Amino acid sequence: MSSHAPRIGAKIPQTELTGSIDDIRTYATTIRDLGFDHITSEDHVVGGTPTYQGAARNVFSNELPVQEIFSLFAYVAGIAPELEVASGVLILPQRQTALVAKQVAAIDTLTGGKVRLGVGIGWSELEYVALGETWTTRAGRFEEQIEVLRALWSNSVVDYHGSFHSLDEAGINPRPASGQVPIWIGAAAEPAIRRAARIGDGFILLGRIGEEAERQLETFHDELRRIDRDPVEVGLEGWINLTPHADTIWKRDLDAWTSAGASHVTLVTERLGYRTLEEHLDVLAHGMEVARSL
Amino acid sequence: MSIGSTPASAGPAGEFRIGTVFPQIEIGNDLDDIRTYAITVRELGYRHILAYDHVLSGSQQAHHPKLINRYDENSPFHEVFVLFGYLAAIVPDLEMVTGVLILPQRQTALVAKQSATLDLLTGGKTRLGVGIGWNDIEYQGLGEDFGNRGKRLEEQMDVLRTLWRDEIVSYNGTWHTIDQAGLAPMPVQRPIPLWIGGSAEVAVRRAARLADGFFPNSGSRETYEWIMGTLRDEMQRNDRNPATFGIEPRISVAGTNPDDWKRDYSWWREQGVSHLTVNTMGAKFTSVQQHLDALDRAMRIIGEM
Repeated sequence: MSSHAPRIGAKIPQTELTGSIDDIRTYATTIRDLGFDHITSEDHVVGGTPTYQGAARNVFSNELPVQEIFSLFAYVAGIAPELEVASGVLILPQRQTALVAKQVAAIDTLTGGKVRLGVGIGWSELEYVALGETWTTRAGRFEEQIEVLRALWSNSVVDYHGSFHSLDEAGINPRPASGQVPIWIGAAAEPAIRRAARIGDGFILLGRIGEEAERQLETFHDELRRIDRDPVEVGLEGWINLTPHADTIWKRDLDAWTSAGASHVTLVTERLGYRTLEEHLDVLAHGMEVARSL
Repeated sequence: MSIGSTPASAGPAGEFRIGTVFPQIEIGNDLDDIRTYAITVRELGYRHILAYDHVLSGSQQAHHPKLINRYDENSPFHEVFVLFGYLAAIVPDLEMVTGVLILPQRQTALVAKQSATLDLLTGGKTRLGVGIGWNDIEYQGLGEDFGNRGKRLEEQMDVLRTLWRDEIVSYNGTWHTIDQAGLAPMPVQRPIPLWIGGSAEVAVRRAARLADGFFPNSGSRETYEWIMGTLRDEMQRNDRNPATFGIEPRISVAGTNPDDWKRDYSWWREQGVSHLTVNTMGAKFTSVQQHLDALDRAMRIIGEM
């Protein structure tokens, strides 16, 4: 486990921007100029209304603007090619695996290999339904998808016949230059954390630092020990809320993630009361100063 | 079923537009080449970039003679929505056109979302050409049914237009279920122009019935005459106005000379088409500069006419 300073990124607060492309351009170029390493985006394809009556009632509101994540990353690659793009997280089981492989490989090409694919299984059944995918099989499908993604990235031709995928001597081109794209698993629940330790190239801890996160980290390390996997092989990313006027807490959280061995830290300004693009960017500038002072 | 607001697709007041086919099989992965290509075609006066779509290719060796097309695992295709998102950052004044996206092998709601984001990134300069393709290996790899692709395409077009037009959509079709959900943000164009490309009679008739425009594939003069006649007949039968229907043929520089280009160009202009694309692939060019030189020649010849 290293205690090198983690790479610092920022999660684009799309739901609190106007949905205009100018905002995205300003955000990406500004955080690039501030020295951020990566830009993280969440993934939503459709939003719903509170009247939704499906099995999982949680619904991402259709009033919140979020650009499609791969299209957004391609645009960022064009305007701020210095930034790494990272999904935080892509809801993998609601998408077609081969198309994810293809689109991520294309982003890898356009960013010169600066892409990290954070994946998770999500919480919004409504989106699965709208995309024609099965909600109930999502966890089982997820692991097979990761296997298929890696196969398509590392081989020019793949023959694969699994429970959910059938590839008949087919492949994508172009493939990622290095033959792989790192797959990071975003998780909060115990089985998902153990899965991240088992098959992830990295683990995005989807909780805030504190007692709960400590338990989650313990689970992560417990699983690594159990399968005899060297923690150095597996990345660790934590998210920090830049709560207004709480620099001392930001500093404490940054210290905590650094000593926990985090390789990446993402600063979050969303849902904290910042109202304009300028306010989000000002607090990120300050957050970066604090991170650099450690 | 709605018909898009097409002269939009033909530009203001039906202005004739010339674009290029992105030479993705030949251009390679070098970012400087891709940027140079985009910036130069804009400077040459081209108004749009059209790209073909393939997600997967079957191995020619493993499937021979099953594959009916020359593409195999050695044929690079930049994924269209990712490529266009990138190009929108480089050349924001060019229109981005899929020609064609194999729609029935993709999830409809994701196509709606990715097109909507692209439409915002291009400031409303997105045109979605769709078709059913020919490669069952690709459908299988993407987990979609090859057998019902034609029928499904029609429902997909209806779902796309509904998602681009209405903020909240409820839809219960044969293949689609949407329960009070929608896109945010919405695209600039509501709806985005939806064109069809193909060579089978059913594709031509489907376009005349449902699409905002049609992409004829390469063929003989007799084929083109038949396509133009069939489009006119089918539009008349469906009470559609040919004046608001776009048509975009391709002129290929491979195996042709400037006299051929002039003749084809004049013929298409006489037919009253709204767009034209110049394809530089297949001419054994080995550098991006050769593609651009050919595009420069083609534009100068057209300019002189």
